Amino acid sequence: MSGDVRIELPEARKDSHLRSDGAAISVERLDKSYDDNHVINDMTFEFERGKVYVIMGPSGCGKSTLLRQMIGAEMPDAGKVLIDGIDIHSHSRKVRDEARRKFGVLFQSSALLNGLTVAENVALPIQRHTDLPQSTIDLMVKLKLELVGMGGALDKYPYEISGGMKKRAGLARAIALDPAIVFYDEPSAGLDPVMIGVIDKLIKDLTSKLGITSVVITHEMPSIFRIADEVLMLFNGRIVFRGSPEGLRNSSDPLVRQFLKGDPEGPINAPRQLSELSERLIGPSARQGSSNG
Amino acid sequence: MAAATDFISSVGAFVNRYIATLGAAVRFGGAAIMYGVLGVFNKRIYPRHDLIVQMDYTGARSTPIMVLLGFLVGASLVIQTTPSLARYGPAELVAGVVGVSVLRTLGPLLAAIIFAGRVGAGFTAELGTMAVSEEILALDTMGIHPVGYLVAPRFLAACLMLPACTVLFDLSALVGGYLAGTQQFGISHESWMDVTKQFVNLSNFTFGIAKSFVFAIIITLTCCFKGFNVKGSGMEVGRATMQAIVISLILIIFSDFVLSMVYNFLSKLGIVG
Repeated sequence: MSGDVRIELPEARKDSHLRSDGAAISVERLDKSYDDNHVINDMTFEFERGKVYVIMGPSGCGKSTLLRQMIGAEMPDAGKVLIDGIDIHSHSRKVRDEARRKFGVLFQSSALLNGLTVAENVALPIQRHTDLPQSTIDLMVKLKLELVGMGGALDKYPYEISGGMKKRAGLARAIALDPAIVFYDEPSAGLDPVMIGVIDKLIKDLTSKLGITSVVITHEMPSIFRIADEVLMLFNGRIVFRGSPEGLRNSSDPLVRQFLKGDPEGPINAPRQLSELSERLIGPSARQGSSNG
Repeated sequence: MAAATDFISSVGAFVNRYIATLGAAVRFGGAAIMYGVLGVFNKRIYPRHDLIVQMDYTGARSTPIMVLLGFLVGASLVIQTTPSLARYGPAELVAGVVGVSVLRTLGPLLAAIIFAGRVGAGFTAELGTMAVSEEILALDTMGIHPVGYLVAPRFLAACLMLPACTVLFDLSALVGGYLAGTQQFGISHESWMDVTKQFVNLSNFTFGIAKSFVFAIIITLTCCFKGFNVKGSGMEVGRATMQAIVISLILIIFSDFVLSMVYNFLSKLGIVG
């Protein structure tokens, strides 16, 4: 079932999201702290339309926090996020909902509603935001599920399908209202390499053929090089690299080099953690001894 | 000096956190009530089917436990009270004691406690699991108000079904008490009915039902609020469920006390019977 994926997309709607001017996403001087932990530090960037942007970085660097600010799940301490020019953190629920209509989100856990079937999950945003008759909605749902190779699982409940199928169903729901932007939170987490390849191909195809702007949060290095038009690497709440995957590969920045090589020694705080760990395991004297000797 | 500053700062942080939680709870309750009412007229807020499902879950499926426990409570009340009462006067008076205490206090209170344990715990666990698995966040990002979609049908269903469950509990307790009184203590049917008519009036019943409506609001809002605010792992769902039930029980018993005082006050003024 999981291998039955059809990714034949029409070329017709390619430019449908390229009509409005300006950036798809604009983040301006964003700041976010949790108590004393400064997670996002005065961050500013823009994402153009119709490209795949990958946000990567070591654990705790602020990727997920940045995503939560961009989708309006959390209020920043300062700064703003504009989705197609609309403030996602506006005080007006109506304005926030207008911004939310512009994007879909594929959550790490897929976040399908367990009480609804796959088809009902995909139909939910369409029913809520359009006046279309049920027969048209059914047709749209079928189309979206066919698009992600899930045409045969309409009546299944989320707990009856595999992790990869859940991701694809979650993606079908994310694109149900033909959004201009899709956010992907760790789309390859918990999937086998083949399914990661399938999801990567879907991301790439949806972006190139439907003109969607894709923002992908991931750690998966092969995925990054397969799908990214541009890569942002975060460290300590700041952007330390922005450029093409080629630029990333050729970067001489020690942070980037260490992250790409997966080296435990380097400027990313692993050495401090290692020394702390050795101290906890064998005591400070052992560490002194080892450094002396 | 530093210790004093730390102490004042931690007290300030504590007060600040609790005021923020209280504010969030009030906003949550306001949204639940608003969407509950709006949803009656606007089917986009939550599917009508969900209201039926919740009414079935909260009401119809609570029927057996309400009937069984109501019957047992009524019967035990008579069995334990009659011997003591018989020492000071006619045993028939127990019919009045049971009638008034069940309709005014025991029925609404015990039905609410059972409801909190069965339905309220279910609300917290269900919504807590949805919060942990990002389902609530997903609804929000789809532009669907999670309180309107998830809490409003539960709120409406509980407000309709807890009073209905209380009526069932009351009736079962009265039947249980009647059977225990007539069969165990030989009180005649006529005496039982006469005493009941003398002691019990309609306001006892309506006051009890009004209380159960207030209890339904307390249980639903407390349990749903706790469920919505679960963060972290599945273990937190269990913790939140326990906290929701404890808070619900405290609020139910406290509000029962306040409402009883209000009833007594109104009774003295002659506004209620």
